[in-house]
Amino acid sequence: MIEVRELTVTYPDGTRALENVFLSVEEGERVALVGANGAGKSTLLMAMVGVCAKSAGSVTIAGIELTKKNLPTLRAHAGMVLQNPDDQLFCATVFDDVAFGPRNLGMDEKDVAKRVDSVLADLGAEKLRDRMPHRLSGGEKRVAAIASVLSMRPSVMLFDEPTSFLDPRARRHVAELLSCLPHTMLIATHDLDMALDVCERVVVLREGRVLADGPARDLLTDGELMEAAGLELPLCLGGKT
Amino acid sequence: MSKISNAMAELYTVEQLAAKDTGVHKLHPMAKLLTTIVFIVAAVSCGRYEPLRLVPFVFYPVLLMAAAELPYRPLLKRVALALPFALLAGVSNLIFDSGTALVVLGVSISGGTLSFVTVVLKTYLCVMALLILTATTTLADISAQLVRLKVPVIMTTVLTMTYRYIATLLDEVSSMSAAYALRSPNTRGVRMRHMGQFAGQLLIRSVDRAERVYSAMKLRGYSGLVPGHNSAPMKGKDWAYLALIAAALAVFRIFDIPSALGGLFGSI
Repeated sequence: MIEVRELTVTYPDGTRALENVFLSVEEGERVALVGANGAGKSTLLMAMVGVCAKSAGSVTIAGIELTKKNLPTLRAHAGMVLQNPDDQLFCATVFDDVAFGPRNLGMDEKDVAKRVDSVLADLGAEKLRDRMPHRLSGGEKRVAAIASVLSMRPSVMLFDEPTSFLDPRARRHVAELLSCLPHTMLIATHDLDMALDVCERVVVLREGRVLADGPARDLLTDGELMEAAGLELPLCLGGKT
Repeated sequence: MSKISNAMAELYTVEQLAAKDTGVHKLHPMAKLLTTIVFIVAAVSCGRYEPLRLVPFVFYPVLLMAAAELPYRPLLKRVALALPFALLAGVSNLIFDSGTALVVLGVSISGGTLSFVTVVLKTYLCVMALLILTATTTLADISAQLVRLKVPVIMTTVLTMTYRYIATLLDEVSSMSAAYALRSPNTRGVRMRHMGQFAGQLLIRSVDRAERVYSAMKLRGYSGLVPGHNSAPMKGKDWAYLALIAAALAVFRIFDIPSALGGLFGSI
Protein backbone atom coordinates (compact mmCIF):
# COMPACT_ATOMS: atom_id res chain seq x y z
CA MET A 1 0.00 0.00 0.00
CA ILE A 2 2.90 2.36 0.80
CA GLU A 3 6.28 2.04 -0.89
CA VAL A 4 9.06 4.48 -0.06
CA ARG A 5 12.37 3.92 -1.81
CA GLU A 6 15.67 5.69 -1.29
CA LEU A 7 13.87 8.79 -0.10
CA THR A 8 16.15 11.71 0.62
CA VAL A 9 15.07 15.17 1.72
CA THR A 10 17.45 18.09 2.04
CA TYR A 11 16.23 21.41 3.39
CA PRO A 12 17.12 24.64 1.58
CA ASP A 13 19.72 25.43 4.29
CA GLY A 14 21.53 22.18 3.43
CA THR A 15 20.29 20.13 6.40
CA ARG A 16 19.76 16.52 5.39
CA ALA A 17 16.44 15.63 7.07
CA LEU A 18 16.03 12.19 5.52
CA GLU A 19 18.62 10.00 3.89
CA ASN A 20 18.00 6.96 1.79
CA VAL A 21 14.83 5.89 3.60
CA PHE A 22 13.15 2.62 2.61
CA LEU A 23 9.72 1.78 3.93
CA SER A 24 7.06 -0.66 2.84
CA VAL A 25 3.63 -0.88 4.47
CA GLU A 26 1.05 -3.53 3.59
CA GLU A 27 -2.67 -2.88 3.28
CA GLY A 28 -4.39 -2.67 6.67
CA GLU A 29 -1.10 -2.46 8.58
CA ARG A 30 -0.66 0.07 11.38
CA VAL A 31 2.90 1.28 11.64
CA ALA A 32 4.37 3.68 14.21
CA LEU A 33 7.23 5.94 13.24
CA VAL A 34 9.22 6.69 16.37
CA GLY A 35 12.39 8.63 17.02
CA ALA A 36 13.79 11.54 18.98
CA ASN A 37 13.08 15.17 18.07
CA GLY A 38 14.62 15.95 14.70
CA ALA A 39 14.82 12.29 13.68
CA GLY A 40 12.77 13.04 10.54
CA LYS A 41 9.36 11.58 11.42
CA SER A 42 7.27 14.59 10.41
CA THR A 43 9.47 15.27 7.40
CA LEU A 44 8.92 11.73 6.18
CA LEU A 45 5.13 12.12 6.39
CA MET A 46 5.25 15.56 4.76
CA ALA A 47 7.48 14.27 1.96
CA MET A 48 5.14 11.34 1.33
CA VAL A 49 2.26 13.70 0.50
CA GLY A 50 4.38 16.22 -1.36
CA VAL A 51 4.16 19.06 1.17
CA CYS A 52 7.89 18.81 1.64
CA ALA A 53 9.88 18.39 -1.59
CA LYS A 54 11.99 15.27 -1.90
CA SER A 55 15.54 15.55 -3.20
CA ALA A 56 15.73 11.95 -4.36
CA GLY A 57 13.89 8.64 -4.21
CA SER A 58 10.32 7.64 -4.85
CA VAL A 59 7.04 7.34 -2.96
CA THR A 60 4.08 5.26 -4.09
CA ILE A 61 0.79 5.20 -2.15
CA ALA A 62 -2.11 2.97 -3.21
CA GLY A 63 -0.38 2.43 -6.54
CA ILE A 64 -0.04 6.16 -7.24
CA GLU A 65 3.47 7.49 -7.58
CA LEU A 66 4.30 10.83 -6.03
CA THR A 67 4.75 13.19 -8.97
CA LYS A 68 3.60 16.75 -9.51
CA LYS A 69 0.91 15.52 -11.89
CA ASN A 70 -0.38 12.81 -9.54
CA LEU A 71 -0.38 14.99 -6.43
CA PRO A 72 -4.17 15.67 -6.23
CA THR A 73 -5.02 11.97 -6.74
CA LEU A 74 -2.38 10.86 -4.27
CA ARG A 75 -3.65 13.30 -1.65
CA ALA A 76 -7.19 12.06 -2.12
CA HIS A 77 -5.92 8.56 -1.23
CA ALA A 78 -3.56 9.53 1.57
CA GLY A 79 -5.18 11.59 4.31
CA MET A 80 -2.85 13.38 6.68
CA VAL A 81 -3.72 14.66 10.13
CA LEU A 82 -1.31 17.41 11.17
CA GLN A 83 0.31 17.70 14.59
CA ASN A 84 -1.49 20.90 15.54
CA PRO A 85 -5.25 20.71 14.92
CA ASP A 86 -5.38 24.53 14.90
CA ASP A 87 -3.48 24.36 11.61
CA GLN A 88 -5.98 21.90 10.21
CA LEU A 89 -9.23 23.51 11.31
CA PHE A 90 -9.80 26.90 9.71
CA CYS A 91 -13.48 27.05 8.81
CA ALA A 92 -16.33 28.69 10.71
CA THR A 93 -17.84 25.43 11.97
CA VAL A 94 -16.75 21.83 12.38
CA PHE A 95 -19.28 20.93 9.69
CA ASP A 96 -17.59 23.23 7.18
CA ASP A 97 -14.17 21.90 8.09
CA VAL A 98 -15.23 18.29 7.68
CA ALA A 99 -17.02 19.25 4.45
CA PHE A 100 -13.98 21.11 3.07
CA GLY A 101 -12.37 18.02 1.52
CA PRO A 102 -15.55 16.51 0.00
CA ARG A 103 -16.48 19.90 -1.46
CA ASN A 104 -13.04 20.15 -3.02
CA LEU A 105 -13.66 16.71 -4.50
CA GLY A 106 -16.64 18.31 -6.28
CA MET A 107 -19.32 16.43 -4.38
CA ASP A 108 -22.95 17.54 -4.44
CA GLU A 109 -23.99 19.49 -1.33
CA LYS A 110 -26.53 16.85 -0.25
CA ASP A 111 -23.91 14.12 -0.44
CA VAL A 112 -21.45 16.34 1.39
CA ALA A 113 -23.90 16.74 4.29
CA LYS A 114 -24.53 12.97 4.35
CA ARG A 115 -20.79 12.25 4.30
CA VAL A 116 -20.05 14.74 7.10
CA ASP A 117 -22.84 13.40 9.31
CA SER A 118 -21.77 9.82 8.75
CA VAL A 119 -18.10 10.55 9.59
CA LEU A 120 -19.03 12.51 12.72
CA ALA A 121 -21.37 9.69 13.78
CA ASP A 122 -18.60 7.10 13.24
CA LEU A 123 -16.34 9.08 15.54
CA GLY A 124 -19.11 9.74 18.08
CA ALA A 125 -18.69 13.47 17.45
CA GLU A 126 -22.16 14.49 16.25
CA LYS A 127 -22.40 17.11 18.97
CA LEU A 128 -19.43 18.96 17.48
CA ARG A 129 -21.16 19.42 14.10
CA ASP A 130 -22.19 23.08 14.41
CA ARG A 131 -19.56 24.22 16.90
CA MET A 132 -16.79 26.65 16.11
CA PRO A 133 -13.44 24.83 15.94
CA HIS A 134 -11.49 27.38 17.98
CA ARG A 135 -13.91 26.93 20.88
CA LEU A 136 -13.33 23.16 21.15
CA SER A 137 -11.16 21.44 23.74
CA GLY A 138 -7.84 19.91 22.65
CA GLY A 139 -9.34 16.41 22.43
CA GLU A 140 -12.38 17.62 20.50
CA LYS A 141 -10.18 19.54 18.09
CA ARG A 142 -8.18 16.38 17.46
CA VAL A 143 -11.32 14.38 16.74
CA ALA A 144 -12.58 17.14 14.43
CA ALA A 145 -9.23 17.18 12.62
CA ILE A 146 -9.38 13.40 12.14
CA ALA A 147 -12.97 13.72 10.88
CA SER A 148 -11.90 16.41 8.42
CA VAL A 149 -9.51 13.93 6.83
CA LEU A 150 -11.70 10.82 7.12
CA SER A 151 -14.46 12.62 5.19
CA MET A 152 -12.31 12.33 2.07
CA ARG A 153 -12.44 8.53 2.45
CA PRO A 154 -8.69 8.02 2.12
CA SER A 155 -7.29 4.52 1.91
CA VAL A 156 -4.18 5.47 3.89
CA MET A 157 -4.05 7.67 7.00
CA LEU A 158 -0.91 9.50 8.08
CA PHE A 159 -0.87 10.94 11.60
CA ASP A 160 1.68 13.39 12.93
CA GLU A 161 1.81 13.18 16.73
CA PRO A 162 -1.92 12.46 17.15
CA THR A 163 -1.76 12.44 20.95
CA SER A 164 0.44 15.47 21.59
CA PHE A 165 -0.96 18.24 23.88
CA LEU A 166 -3.73 15.94 25.13
CA ASP A 167 -4.70 15.07 28.69
CA PRO A 168 -4.68 11.36 29.62
CA ARG A 169 -8.39 10.82 28.98
CA ALA A 170 -8.39 12.59 25.60
CA ARG A 171 -5.19 10.73 24.71
CA ARG A 172 -6.87 7.42 25.54
CA HIS A 173 -9.92 8.41 23.49
CA VAL A 174 -7.79 9.25 20.43
CA ALA A 175 -5.78 6.02 20.81
CA GLU A 176 -9.00 3.99 20.92
CA LEU A 177 -10.27 5.87 17.91
CA LEU A 178 -7.14 5.02 15.95
CA SER A 179 -7.42 1.36 16.96
CA CYS A 180 -10.95 1.24 15.58
CA LEU A 181 -10.13 2.75 12.19
CA PRO A 182 -9.74 0.13 9.46
CA HIS A 183 -7.25 2.17 7.42
CA THR A 184 -3.65 1.49 6.61
CA MET A 185 -1.87 3.82 9.02
CA LEU A 186 1.46 5.46 9.52
CA ILE A 187 1.69 7.25 12.87
CA ALA A 188 4.61 9.51 13.73
CA THR A 189 4.72 9.71 17.50
CA HIS A 190 6.69 10.16 20.70
CA ASP A 191 3.94 8.41 22.59
CA LEU A 192 5.42 4.92 22.76
CA ASP A 193 2.60 3.59 24.93
CA MET A 194 0.09 4.61 22.28
CA ALA A 195 2.33 3.11 19.59
CA LEU A 196 2.35 -0.15 21.52
CA ASP A 197 -1.43 -0.08 21.94
CA VAL A 198 -2.35 0.84 18.38
CA CYS A 199 0.41 -0.44 16.09
CA GLU A 200 1.66 -3.90 15.42
CA ARG A 201 4.84 -2.65 13.78
CA VAL A 202 7.35 0.09 14.57
CA VAL A 203 9.93 1.88 12.44
CA VAL A 204 12.63 3.62 14.45
CA LEU A 205 14.26 6.68 12.89
CA ARG A 206 17.50 8.32 13.92
CA GLU A 207 19.02 11.35 12.21
CA GLY A 208 16.97 10.84 9.10
CA ARG A 209 17.73 7.15 8.65
CA VAL A 210 15.83 3.98 9.49
CA LEU A 211 17.52 2.49 12.53
CA ALA A 212 15.20 -0.48 13.01
CA ASP A 213 11.98 -1.88 11.60
CA GLY A 214 10.02 -4.70 13.23
CA PRO A 215 7.23 -5.84 15.55
CA ALA A 216 6.22 -3.11 18.02
CA ARG A 217 6.55 -5.26 21.12
CA ASP A 218 10.04 -6.47 20.19
CA LEU A 219 11.49 -3.07 19.32
CA LEU A 220 9.83 -0.98 22.00
CA THR A 221 11.01 -3.36 24.73
CA ASP A 222 14.59 -3.30 23.48
CA GLY A 223 16.25 -0.95 25.95
CA GLU A 224 19.50 -0.69 23.99
CA LEU A 225 17.71 0.18 20.77
CA MET A 226 15.56 2.78 22.51
CA GLU A 227 18.68 4.29 24.05
CA ALA A 228 20.42 4.40 20.69
CA ALA A 229 17.38 6.13 19.15
CA GLY A 230 17.28 8.74 21.91
CA LEU A 231 14.11 7.25 23.34
CA GLU A 232 13.04 5.51 26.54
CA LEU A 233 11.01 2.38 27.15
CA PRO A 234 7.22 2.90 27.17
CA LEU A 235 5.84 3.80 30.61
CA CYS A 236 3.77 0.64 30.71
CA LEU A 237 6.99 -1.36 30.39
CA GLY A 238 8.71 0.46 33.22
CA GLY A 239 10.06 3.47 31.33
CA LYS A 240 11.05 6.55 33.33
CA THR A 241 8.25 8.94 34.31
CA MET B 1 -8.80 37.12 29.49
CA SER B 2 -6.28 39.31 27.65
CA LYS B 3 -7.32 42.12 25.34
CA ILE B 4 -6.24 40.04 22.36
CA SER B 5 -8.22 37.02 23.50
CA ASN B 6 -11.20 39.33 23.89
CA ALA B 7 -10.63 40.65 20.38
CA MET B 8 -10.54 37.07 19.09
CA ALA B 9 -13.73 36.18 20.91
CA GLU B 10 -15.40 39.33 19.57
CA LEU B 11 -14.19 38.64 16.07
CA TYR B 12 -16.42 35.60 15.97
CA THR B 13 -19.37 36.96 17.92
CA VAL B 14 -21.26 38.12 14.83
CA GLU B 15 -20.41 34.89 13.04
CA GLN B 16 -21.74 32.86 15.95
CA LEU B 17 -25.02 34.73 15.67
CA ALA B 18 -25.30 33.37 12.13
CA ALA B 19 -25.73 29.88 13.61
CA LYS B 20 -29.14 30.80 15.10
CA ASP B 21 -32.27 29.15 13.82
CA THR B 22 -34.81 31.93 13.31
CA GLY B 23 -36.99 32.54 10.25
CA VAL B 24 -34.58 35.20 9.00
CA HIS B 25 -31.62 32.85 9.38
CA LYS B 26 -33.46 30.20 7.39
CA LEU B 27 -34.10 32.50 4.44
CA HIS B 28 -32.05 31.85 1.33
CA PRO B 29 -28.71 33.69 1.55
CA MET B 30 -29.29 35.17 -1.91
CA ALA B 31 -32.56 36.79 -0.76
CA LYS B 32 -30.79 38.34 2.22
CA LEU B 33 -27.82 39.47 0.15
CA LEU B 34 -30.01 41.08 -2.51
CA THR B 35 -32.22 42.91 0.00
CA THR B 36 -29.07 44.22 1.70
CA ILE B 37 -27.75 45.50 -1.63
CA VAL B 38 -31.11 47.11 -2.48
CA PHE B 39 -31.23 48.67 0.99
CA ILE B 40 -27.75 50.16 0.68
CA VAL B 41 -28.40 51.52 -2.81
CA ALA B 42 -31.72 53.04 -1.74
CA ALA B 43 -30.29 54.61 1.42
CA VAL B 44 -27.11 55.92 -0.19
CA SER B 45 -29.00 57.46 -3.12
CA CYS B 46 -31.03 59.74 -0.85
CA GLY B 47 -30.10 63.41 -1.18
CA ARG B 48 -27.38 64.89 1.02
CA TYR B 49 -29.72 67.58 2.39
CA GLU B 50 -32.55 65.15 3.18
CA PRO B 51 -31.71 63.39 6.44
CA LEU B 52 -35.40 63.00 7.26
CA ARG B 53 -35.86 60.86 4.13
CA LEU B 54 -33.61 58.29 5.82
CA VAL B 55 -35.83 57.93 8.88
CA PRO B 56 -38.17 55.26 7.40
CA PHE B 57 -35.10 53.16 6.53
CA VAL B 58 -34.44 52.70 10.26
CA PHE B 59 -37.34 50.26 10.31
CA TYR B 60 -35.35 47.75 8.25
CA PRO B 61 -32.58 47.07 10.80
CA VAL B 62 -34.96 47.37 13.74
CA LEU B 63 -37.47 44.86 12.38
CA LEU B 64 -34.82 42.45 11.13
CA MET B 65 -32.94 42.50 14.43
CA ALA B 66 -36.16 41.73 16.26
CA ALA B 67 -37.18 38.98 13.84
CA ALA B 68 -33.71 37.40 13.87
CA GLU B 69 -33.43 37.75 17.66
CA LEU B 70 -30.13 39.58 17.35
CA PRO B 71 -28.72 41.29 20.43
CA TYR B 72 -28.41 45.04 19.76
CA ARG B 73 -25.36 45.68 21.95
CA PRO B 74 -22.63 43.79 19.98
CA LEU B 75 -23.98 45.14 16.70
CA LEU B 76 -24.12 48.73 17.95
CA LYS B 77 -20.57 48.34 19.24
CA ARG B 78 -19.44 47.41 15.76
CA VAL B 79 -21.37 50.23 14.13
CA ALA B 80 -19.64 52.57 16.56
CA LEU B 81 -16.31 51.48 15.07
CA ALA B 82 -17.36 52.86 11.68
CA LEU B 83 -18.90 56.09 12.96
CA PRO B 84 -15.63 58.00 13.58
CA PHE B 85 -14.90 57.74 9.84
CA ALA B 86 -18.35 59.13 9.06
CA LEU B 87 -17.94 61.88 11.63
CA LEU B 88 -14.57 62.81 10.14
CA ALA B 89 -16.04 62.95 6.64
CA GLY B 90 -19.09 64.90 7.84
CA VAL B 91 -17.15 67.51 9.84
CA SER B 92 -15.69 69.01 6.67
CA ASN B 93 -19.26 69.63 5.48
CA LEU B 94 -19.95 71.61 8.65
CA ILE B 95 -16.98 73.84 7.92
CA PHE B 96 -17.24 74.33 4.16
CA ASP B 97 -21.02 74.28 3.62
CA SER B 98 -22.15 76.99 6.03
CA GLY B 99 -24.93 78.53 3.92
CA THR B 100 -28.45 78.38 5.37
CA ALA B 101 -30.42 75.52 3.87
CA LEU B 102 -33.42 75.45 6.17
CA VAL B 103 -35.08 77.58 8.83
CA VAL B 104 -36.96 75.70 11.54
CA LEU B 105 -38.86 77.70 14.16
CA GLY B 106 -36.69 80.70 13.43
CA VAL B 107 -33.44 78.73 13.74
CA SER B 108 -31.40 78.57 10.56
CA ILE B 109 -29.77 75.22 9.80
CA SER B 110 -26.80 75.17 7.46
CA GLY B 111 -26.45 72.79 4.50
CA GLY B 112 -23.32 71.41 6.20
CA THR B 113 -25.30 70.43 9.28
CA LEU B 114 -27.90 68.63 7.17
CA SER B 115 -25.30 66.79 5.10
CA PHE B 116 -23.35 65.95 8.28
CA VAL B 117 -26.42 64.30 9.80
CA THR B 118 -27.12 62.55 6.48
CA VAL B 119 -23.59 61.12 6.23
CA VAL B 120 -23.72 59.81 9.80
CA LEU B 121 -27.20 58.31 9.31
CA LYS B 122 -26.27 56.67 6.00
CA THR B 123 -23.15 55.16 7.56
CA TYR B 124 -25.11 53.86 10.51
CA LEU B 125 -27.79 52.34 8.28
CA CYS B 126 -25.44 50.74 5.75
CA VAL B 127 -23.05 49.30 8.32
CA MET B 128 -25.97 48.00 10.33
CA ALA B 129 -27.50 46.35 7.24
CA LEU B 130 -24.20 44.61 6.49
CA LEU B 131 -23.80 43.50 10.10
CA ILE B 132 -27.30 42.07 10.09
CA LEU B 133 -26.46 40.20 6.90
CA THR B 134 -23.32 38.68 8.46
CA ALA B 135 -25.17 37.94 11.70
CA THR B 136 -27.85 35.98 9.86
CA THR B 137 -25.78 34.37 7.08
CA THR B 138 -22.44 32.55 7.26
CA LEU B 139 -19.47 34.03 5.43
CA ALA B 140 -19.24 30.87 3.31
CA ASP B 141 -22.85 31.32 2.18
CA ILE B 142 -22.34 35.00 1.42
CA SER B 143 -19.21 34.17 -0.62
CA ALA B 144 -21.09 31.45 -2.52
CA GLN B 145 -23.91 33.87 -3.40
CA LEU B 146 -21.43 36.55 -4.47
CA VAL B 147 -19.98 34.00 -6.87
CA ARG B 148 -23.49 33.33 -8.20
CA LEU B 149 -23.79 37.08 -8.77
CA LYS B 150 -20.69 36.78 -11.00
CA VAL B 151 -18.25 38.33 -8.54
CA PRO B 152 -14.88 36.77 -9.52
CA VAL B 153 -14.19 33.68 -7.38
CA ILE B 154 -10.68 34.92 -6.66
CA MET B 155 -12.16 37.98 -4.90
CA THR B 156 -14.48 35.95 -2.69
CA THR B 157 -11.63 33.55 -1.89
CA VAL B 158 -9.40 36.46 -0.85
CA LEU B 159 -12.26 37.77 1.30
CA THR B 160 -12.78 34.42 3.03
CA MET B 161 -9.09 33.72 3.52
CA THR B 162 -8.32 37.20 4.84
CA TYR B 163 -11.04 36.80 7.42
CA ARG B 164 -9.68 33.40 8.47
CA TYR B 165 -6.08 34.56 8.64
CA ILE B 166 -6.98 37.47 10.95
CA ALA B 167 -7.66 34.84 13.60
CA THR B 168 -4.33 33.14 12.85
CA LEU B 169 -2.51 36.45 13.21
CA LEU B 170 -4.30 37.32 16.45
CA ASP B 171 -3.48 33.87 17.79
CA GLU B 172 0.22 34.47 17.23
CA VAL B 173 0.04 37.99 18.72
CA SER B 174 -1.75 36.54 21.73
CA SER B 175 0.88 33.89 22.52
CA MET B 176 3.80 36.25 21.83
CA SER B 177 2.34 39.01 24.03
CA ALA B 178 1.72 36.50 26.83
CA ALA B 179 5.33 35.29 26.62
CA TYR B 180 6.55 38.92 26.59
CA ALA B 181 4.34 40.01 29.49
CA LEU B 182 5.44 37.07 31.64
CA ARG B 183 9.06 38.16 31.36
CA SER B 184 8.45 41.89 31.74
CA PRO B 185 5.90 42.13 34.56
CA ASN B 186 6.40 45.88 35.09
CA THR B 187 5.70 46.84 31.50
CA ARG B 188 2.33 47.54 29.97
CA GLY B 189 2.28 46.32 26.40
CA VAL B 190 5.39 45.92 24.27
CA ARG B 191 8.13 48.54 24.74
CA MET B 192 8.96 50.68 21.74
CA ARG B 193 12.54 49.42 21.64
CA HIS B 194 11.32 45.82 21.40
CA MET B 195 8.62 46.60 18.87
CA GLY B 196 10.83 45.98 15.81
CA GLN B 197 11.86 42.54 17.01
CA PHE B 198 8.31 41.74 18.07
CA ALA B 199 6.83 42.74 14.69
CA GLY B 200 9.56 40.86 12.80
CA GLN B 201 9.02 37.69 14.79
CA LEU B 202 5.27 38.06 14.40
CA LEU B 203 5.65 38.26 10.64
CA ILE B 204 7.89 35.18 10.49
CA ARG B 205 5.68 33.15 12.81
CA SER B 206 2.50 34.17 11.01
CA VAL B 207 3.97 33.25 7.64
CA ASP B 208 5.05 29.86 9.04
CA ARG B 209 1.62 29.28 10.55
CA ALA B 210 -0.15 30.40 7.39
CA GLU B 211 2.01 27.97 5.43
CA ARG B 212 0.98 25.10 7.70
CA VAL B 213 -2.69 26.04 7.34
CA TYR B 214 -2.21 26.23 3.58
CA SER B 215 -0.59 22.77 3.60
CA ALA B 216 -3.57 21.39 5.51
CA MET B 217 -5.86 22.88 2.85
CA LYS B 218 -3.83 21.49 -0.04
CA LEU B 219 -3.85 18.06 1.57
CA ARG B 220 -7.63 18.13 1.42
CA GLY B 221 -7.83 18.91 -2.25
CA TYR B 222 -7.71 22.73 -2.17
CA SER B 223 -6.69 23.95 -5.60
CA GLY B 224 -6.80 27.72 -5.20
CA LEU B 225 -10.49 28.43 -4.87
CA VAL B 226 -12.85 27.85 -1.96
CA PRO B 227 -15.65 25.67 -3.33
CA GLY B 228 -19.03 27.35 -3.23
CA HIS B 229 -22.05 25.78 -1.62
CA ASN B 230 -25.74 26.43 -1.08
CA SER B 231 -26.52 26.45 -4.78
CA ALA B 232 -30.15 25.54 -4.08
CA PRO B 233 -32.69 27.80 -5.83
CA MET B 234 -34.74 30.35 -3.87
CA LYS B 235 -38.14 29.15 -2.69
CA GLY B 236 -41.46 30.98 -2.66
CA LYS B 237 -40.95 32.44 0.82
CA ASP B 238 -37.51 33.76 -0.22
CA TRP B 239 -38.96 35.47 -3.29
CA ALA B 240 -41.80 36.88 -1.17
CA TYR B 241 -39.32 38.28 1.36
CA LEU B 242 -37.21 39.80 -1.40
CA ALA B 243 -40.23 41.31 -3.15
CA LEU B 244 -41.75 42.70 0.04
CA ILE B 245 -38.54 44.32 1.30
CA ALA B 246 -37.61 45.66 -2.14
CA ALA B 247 -41.11 47.15 -2.56
CA ALA B 248 -41.00 48.78 0.88
CA LEU B 249 -37.55 50.22 0.17
CA ALA B 250 -38.72 51.52 -3.21
CA VAL B 251 -41.63 53.29 -1.48
CA PHE B 252 -39.25 54.77 1.12
CA ARG B 253 -36.95 55.97 -1.64
CA ILE B 254 -39.50 57.32 -4.13
CA PHE B 255 -41.98 58.96 -1.76
CA ASP B 256 -41.06 61.51 0.86
CA ILE B 257 -42.93 59.77 3.66
CA PRO B 258 -41.76 61.99 6.56
CA SER B 259 -42.92 65.14 4.68
CA ALA B 260 -46.21 63.49 3.74
CA LEU B 261 -46.82 62.52 7.36
CA GLY B 262 -45.76 65.97 8.50
CA GLY B 263 -48.24 67.55 6.05
CA LEU B 264 -50.94 65.18 7.22
CA PHE B 265 -50.48 66.06 10.88
CA GLY B 266 -50.13 69.75 9.96
CA SER B 267 -53.49 69.73 8.23
CA ILE B 268 -55.12 68.05 11.28
